[in-house]
Amino acid sequence: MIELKSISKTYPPDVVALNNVSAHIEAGEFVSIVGRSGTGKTTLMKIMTAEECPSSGEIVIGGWNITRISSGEKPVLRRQIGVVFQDFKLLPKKTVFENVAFALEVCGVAPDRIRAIVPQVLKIVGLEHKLDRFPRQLSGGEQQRVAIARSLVHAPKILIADEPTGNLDAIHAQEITDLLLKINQFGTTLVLVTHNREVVNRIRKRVITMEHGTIVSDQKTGKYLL
Amino acid sequence: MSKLTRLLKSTFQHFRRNLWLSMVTILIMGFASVSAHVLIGTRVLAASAAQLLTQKVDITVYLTPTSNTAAAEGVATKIKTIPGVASATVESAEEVYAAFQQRYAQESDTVKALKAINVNPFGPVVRVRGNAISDYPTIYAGLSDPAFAPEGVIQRTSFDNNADLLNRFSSMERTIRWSVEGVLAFFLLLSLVVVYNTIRMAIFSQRDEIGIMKLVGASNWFIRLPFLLEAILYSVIAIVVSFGVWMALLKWADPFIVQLMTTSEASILGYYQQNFLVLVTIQVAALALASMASAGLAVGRYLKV
Repeated sequence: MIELKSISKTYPPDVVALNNVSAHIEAGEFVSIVGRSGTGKTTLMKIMTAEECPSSGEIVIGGWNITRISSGEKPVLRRQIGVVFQDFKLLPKKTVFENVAFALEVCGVAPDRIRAIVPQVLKIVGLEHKLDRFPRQLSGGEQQRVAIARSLVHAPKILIADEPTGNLDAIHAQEITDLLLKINQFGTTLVLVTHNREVVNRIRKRVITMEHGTIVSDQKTGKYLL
Repeated sequence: MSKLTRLLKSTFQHFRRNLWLSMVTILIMGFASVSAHVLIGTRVLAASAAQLLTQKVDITVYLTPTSNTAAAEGVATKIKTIPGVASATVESAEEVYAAFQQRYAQESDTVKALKAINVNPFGPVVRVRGNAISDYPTIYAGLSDPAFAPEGVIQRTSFDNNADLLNRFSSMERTIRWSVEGVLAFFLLLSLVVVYNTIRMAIFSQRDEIGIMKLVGASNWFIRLPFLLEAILYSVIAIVVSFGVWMALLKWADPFIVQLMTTSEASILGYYQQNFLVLVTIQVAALALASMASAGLAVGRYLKV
């Protein structure tokens, strides 16, 4: 599903964020990418979502080489990859329903279909009873669930979560972890970028550990090593 | 259809969120449009004034008192062959006499003196009009050719020269036109700068939303287009407002202008009524294209997709 071939990324003048990173992630896998701050986890995530181009190496997603993806092709890729961030990135003036619907609206989905899909997705994340709430009226965990719902509306094959529990307390972090596991059980490939030890150890799935821009460990059923 | 509706909704949303900036942009574009109206008005007035003055320029050929109307007709026929002559009309000696009496009706001494000599001292005249002002020098020179009248038939030739006045008027009109064109260029340039800045501000104020749109896979054009449509919206509103204000002003001022110029040709309102659609279309198209180009520059520079 995701093939990273000797990926390197250098920012001018000479900051090496990634150094010869290679990995293969199978369809339906749950992979945690862990490491301390500044080890290149987020850069790797940005390369997977075509926010950044690698300085060298190749990245292939679902058989599509996106190493030098054009600006016009990026939207097509992003409809196939759901992304969740630590800071939720919700629109404060839109309700829960509108925030999720927004992802479909901007892609030209018909209103009828939006009205059908959004409640279904919000049911998956357990927010079907809070459609009309605004983000400020929700807890951090609920806001993150809205963000996850938004990333799921396109039924992506891959979901990348960048520190999704970073702003949450332990209980909400656990809720989000369970939700990500549930999504993975539906067949979505899940890439979790985190430095939360408890979350990683609780998942008991593949763990890729990064340090100084390189992969130092890749365990099939791993734990947080650092 | 839903795509278009969303694009328009997004465009109006941008407009509303930057309401004050949008208003200022429209105001400045409106000034540019009003400058264009003033320029058009100046041209209409200048054209009608030039026509009026042209009508007042003529060459009068005075024939000797012994010449009869038939001789005058012969001279007129020959004059008509001079290149640039539009008409050559004969006034008989009696008509000239009557016209003189009428002109000096208030001056009894002159009329008495004329009656005292008991004879018509005037000969017939031929009034010559050219096709254009520029033809008169050639016609005037051509009249000195003896071929146009037998010896002793033409007493004198008078060139009632309003051309100087016309030249002075043209020069004044040119100065006014250049000034208005300068003002128009200034406001147009200012409009483009303001549109650029307004779109830039709109992009900055909506960067979170734009980020999310990119994140969820909105097409590049879906992100960019509302900003370009916003620039068109500014142009359309500015033109509508400027036409409204200008037409209201003309409705009030036009009767005075027509009265002053003594010709309905000077009616700017009439000109606008006749060419309304063309004028609106040209102004909207010109302003929309210019502002879209400006918005396009801002989008290209500040909206990375």
